[in-house]
Order: sequence, then structure tokens, then C-alpha cells
Amino acid sequence: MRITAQLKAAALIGLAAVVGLLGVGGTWALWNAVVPSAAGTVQAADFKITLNEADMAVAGTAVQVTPAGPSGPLTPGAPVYAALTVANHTDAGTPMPVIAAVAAPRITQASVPALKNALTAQVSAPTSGDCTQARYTEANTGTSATIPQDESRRFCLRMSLRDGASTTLRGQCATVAVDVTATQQSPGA
Amino acid sequence: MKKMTKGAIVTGLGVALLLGGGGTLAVWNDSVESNAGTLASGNLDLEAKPGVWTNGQGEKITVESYRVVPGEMLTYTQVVNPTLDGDKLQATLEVTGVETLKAHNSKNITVTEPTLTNAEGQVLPSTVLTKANTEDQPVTASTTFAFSLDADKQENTKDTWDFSEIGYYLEQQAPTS
Repeated sequence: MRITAQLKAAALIGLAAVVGLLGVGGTWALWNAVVPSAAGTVQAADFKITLNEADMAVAGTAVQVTPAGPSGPLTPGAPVYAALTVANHTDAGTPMPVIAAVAAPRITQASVPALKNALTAQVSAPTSGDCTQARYTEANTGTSATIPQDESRRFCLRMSLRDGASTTLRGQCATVAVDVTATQQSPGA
Repeated sequence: MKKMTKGAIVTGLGVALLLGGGGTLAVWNDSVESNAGTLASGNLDLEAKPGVWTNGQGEKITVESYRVVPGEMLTYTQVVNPTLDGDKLQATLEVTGVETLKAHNSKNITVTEPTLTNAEGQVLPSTVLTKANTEDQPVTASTTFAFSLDADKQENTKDTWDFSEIGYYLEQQAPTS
């Protein structure tokens, strides 16, 4: 009986010692110091390019352009014109020019097949003047221009009917499509 | 009896006089000071100077308003001053929040793990810093953010990458003796 009591006492003392050691666990800590960097947050720019003031989207945006210039219907020897203005409105922190590429105009829809063959569409190099005075590329070729940040470039389209076009084309219509692509240039380029 | 009383009074008076001139009871003595001085604890501290972001042209930028684009590499540099004031004080310095930086890595984004460098070279977490090798020798922390030119279409436009979790941790090492 006396041995059992001694064992119990020893166990209690041992338990108390363990609890005591755990309780003072904090004494293992050493000096330390922590400081934040306050490095902040890096933010990416947008890529805001507009075509005739409409945002160009990733998948492409169809922008309707109404021919301007000489009024009246298209007739042989009297072209009609349309302007395309591409603007670089990106908010990049470093100057970021873009290359605007205007592909060769395509006649995608014509009410009669003969109109497609008789119609010619050309694009001009960037111009600030009247589209009637612009310098146009050869048919089936495009053009391109570098547009610095916060600037724009104006391209002209000229659509004309070949001389001697058939009178059967009177009153017919066609759609001219032009693909415009803007590509970022490397910073500092 | 009267004579005895007088004798006692005279004796008492003599003793009182002897006690009144106490110095006469002194014996030889001496004292010296120990000059043990005063114990003073050391100091462990860490200070991070304001960090600086620079772009690929080495220009200082304000990251809050700067907008990064593909093809750019930004670098964050920060001076860290560890204070180790203690004859036997040793400590290690490490960058915290590294895991959050690793999470920024993606197809178009590469963030390097921050490095710590002092005059003697790279300071690794295992490098033991002492008063001798930190006094007037700041540590420079550096990390880079690279935006690949492979970003297609409008990938990652308007995205943000938080670097505020980066921190520095200076911890004393247990004395060896």
C-alpha cells in the first residue's frame, strides 16, 4: 500500500514537471524583428485601341463606315471615299507604340457577281488631308503605320468603278471589308 | 553606603564618557569598491528603407500609377539595415512572403525570388550575420517582375500583382556557449 502511494506521488511530480516545461515554452524564443517591404502592387496596362472611336476588341469589332467625299452614287470615273482613324489610347507607363496594319480591302458581298469584278477598293497611307488627295496603294495591297501612344492615324479608302463598267451594274450594291490589326511594339522600340 | 553610592556614580559617569567618545572604541578597518560596473543588454533591430521600382530603362517609377506592358521588366530594390548590437549576437535574415510571389508566375509573368546581398555577396537565410558583418553594411533586397512578349491578344491586360506581402525577418541565433 505504501509503495503504491509513492508511485502515485512520483507520477504526479513527473506530470507537474512536464506541464511546467510546456507552460514555459515561450522561453525558447529569441530576439527577432519583422519589417514589411511596402512594395505595392504592379498593374498591367490596358490595350485601348479605337477604330473610328469604337473600341477594338480581341475577337474583332465590326465598324460600319459610311462612304464620304463626293456625294451621289458610285459611277465610273467618280470614286467614293471613306476614312478609317486608328487611335492608340493605351495607358502604358512607358511609351508604347502600336503598329496599325490595314489589310487590302476585300469585296465580300456583291449583289451581282459582275460588280465584284468591276469594283476596285484601295487603301491609302496615313494622311491628314482630304481623302481625294491621298496617296493610294495598288489594288490588293495593304498598308501599315506606327502610332505612338496618345496619337492616331487616319487612313482613307477609295472605291471606284472601272471605266467602261456595264450599265447592268446600275443600282447594285457591294460590301467592302477591311481588316485592321493593331499590334503592340516592344517597349523602347 | 554613601561612599559606595558615590563610587558607583563616578564609575557610571566614567563609562558614559567613554561611550560618548565612541571613536575611542574603533579598531583597524578598510574598504574597497568592486568596480563591477553596469550590465547593459544589446539590441536587435531591422529597418527597411523605402523601396524603389525601376523599369527596363532604369528609370524610377511610381508603381501605384505605372502600367506595365508585355516586354517590360520591372525591378524592386530595397535597402535593409539589420542592427546587431551584442558581442555574441548572431542572427539570420530572410525574406518572407515568397510563396505569394511564386503564385504570380504564369505563362506571361515571371517573378524572381527576392535576393539579399551585402558587400560580401549574397545573404542567404543560412548566412550568420554578426555585428561585425552588418555594421555600416546594409543589405540590399532585390526582385524582378518580367512581362513576356509572348502575351497574346489582350492577355493579362489590367491585371494586378500584389507584392505587399514581401517582408524581412531577422532572427537571433541561440548562443553556442
